[in-house]
Amino acid sequence: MDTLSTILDIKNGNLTATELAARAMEAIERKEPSIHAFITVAESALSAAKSIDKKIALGENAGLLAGLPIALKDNISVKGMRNTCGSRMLANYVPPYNATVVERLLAEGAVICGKTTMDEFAMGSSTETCFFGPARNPWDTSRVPGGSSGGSAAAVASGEVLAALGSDTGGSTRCPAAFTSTVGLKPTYGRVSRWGLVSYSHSLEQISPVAPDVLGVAALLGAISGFDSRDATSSELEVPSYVEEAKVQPGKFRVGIVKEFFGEGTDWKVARTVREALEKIKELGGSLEEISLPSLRYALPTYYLIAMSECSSNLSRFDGLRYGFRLEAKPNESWDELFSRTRAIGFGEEVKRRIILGTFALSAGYYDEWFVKAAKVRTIIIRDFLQAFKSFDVLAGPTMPCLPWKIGELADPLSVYRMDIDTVAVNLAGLPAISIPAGFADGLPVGLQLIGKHFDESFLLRVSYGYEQITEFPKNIPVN
Amino acid sequence: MAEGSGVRRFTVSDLRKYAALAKIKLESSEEVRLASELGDILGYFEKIKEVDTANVEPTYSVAGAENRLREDRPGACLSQEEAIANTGEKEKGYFKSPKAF
Repeated sequence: MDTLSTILDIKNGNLTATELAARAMEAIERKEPSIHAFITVAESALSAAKSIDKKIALGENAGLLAGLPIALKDNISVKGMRNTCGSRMLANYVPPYNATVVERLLAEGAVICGKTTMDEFAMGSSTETCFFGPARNPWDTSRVPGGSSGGSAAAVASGEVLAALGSDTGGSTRCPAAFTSTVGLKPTYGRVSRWGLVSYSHSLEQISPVAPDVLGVAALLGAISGFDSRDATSSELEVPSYVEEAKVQPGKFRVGIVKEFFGEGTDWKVARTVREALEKIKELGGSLEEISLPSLRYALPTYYLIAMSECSSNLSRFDGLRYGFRLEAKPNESWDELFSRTRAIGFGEEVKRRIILGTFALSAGYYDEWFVKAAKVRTIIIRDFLQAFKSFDVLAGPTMPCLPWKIGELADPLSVYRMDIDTVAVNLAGLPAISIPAGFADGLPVGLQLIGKHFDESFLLRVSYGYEQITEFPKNIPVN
Repeated sequence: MAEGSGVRRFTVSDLRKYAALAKIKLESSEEVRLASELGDILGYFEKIKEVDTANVEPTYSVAGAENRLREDRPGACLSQEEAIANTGEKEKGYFKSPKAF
């Protein structure tokens, strides 16, 4: 059953929030040994669900998401619930406050079922850098679910929960959505408050919804969007009713098929599946035309230079003093020595690589050559996108250039970075983008990525919902 | 960054310098491998130098760089107890640090 019908069933008394939460807890207990989507399961879910049922019984407004079992990526702060960011550094960190999105979800009656497996500090595309071990893909548990929000997507795909939030810095929600045949939407930069999201690369990341269907994503996006005085980059633009917007027919529209997204390194089976999916977009009224955005060739190094630079600054707060992992001090050990030892052990390999390279790119003598250069190339990439949107309503291509790989298969860092080739440019430009199920190749999910104009999530949802109506994607169920 | 036979490399001494700036004390056993990995990554990043960025302004934020000002009014905040709840070492309601100098 789809997400909104389930919410409606609770509202109408055909199902209780407690029954639904109990079902989620039972599914989590049964599936976690093979999926490992969760780092922490919320013991509080059942009692939270009971209080929702009480509200409904009393005729009180229980919210638009009343009773919806949801999982949150383990970098989104929930007061009193362990928040590890997939790192030894924060293995015992318990936030004393709720993220803005958590306040909003709770106000709408969502039931938090736990915190999900992620690449350490969201640095990765597979969850393999998680200190607590990787999550596994419900379609084939020997393979990665994508990342870094892999646990959130795996929890939705396996049916443990009905919805989840991830974060998307360079594709971290769209990638796992593509790899698990779920829907994941990266909102326009500024659409959703980042307050309470543990920061990795602040100019690129957005908290992003994942659900089995388009209307589920629309409902979540509506709940979490909007201005927040605690995030100075959040937008004051009005939040439309995304569920209603999604149901509007898209009419005639122009789709730009981005040539660079089918470039060297793209698995031909992925390309074929995506082209077949695009043919169905025609049935909705879309006209297809190829377009080239030459600057996208530089998106990957530009993205990594900016992300690494920002992370070297953002992760400097983890010094073991105020929170997080801290080694025992040796006699007479200085602040500098103790915290340098603490950070060497508290952070994993990938995090250290990015912090050190980011420190280099921001250092005197190299700042202009690397960081400022990347920031200038970013400007050119943004210009190319804005130019393209003069001729097209949406841009399209594969979400990922490949099928989900085997756990442990990609050993060197650069070969993992290259898998982000089709997702990172969207973050550089701050555009909204969605990954929807395109079909399967070799029995594994493939994602179709649609990119929209700034703050035009509504149009992406219309096309996606229309596509969902004429395809079978919500009916596919993974074996695990 | 040392230059050797026309190819830029990230040397072990570069690695030590930037790891120290980042307050990460590496084990000597991991230095050679890490320097080589970071060198490969930087080598890949070199590609952006092909792009002509003359007269192009850098973008540091896509949200616009306007300051948002508000009146300075006291609001809800964490209690001292909550603020220090996650530290391993505390004394008399304060974070306890090793000596800084």
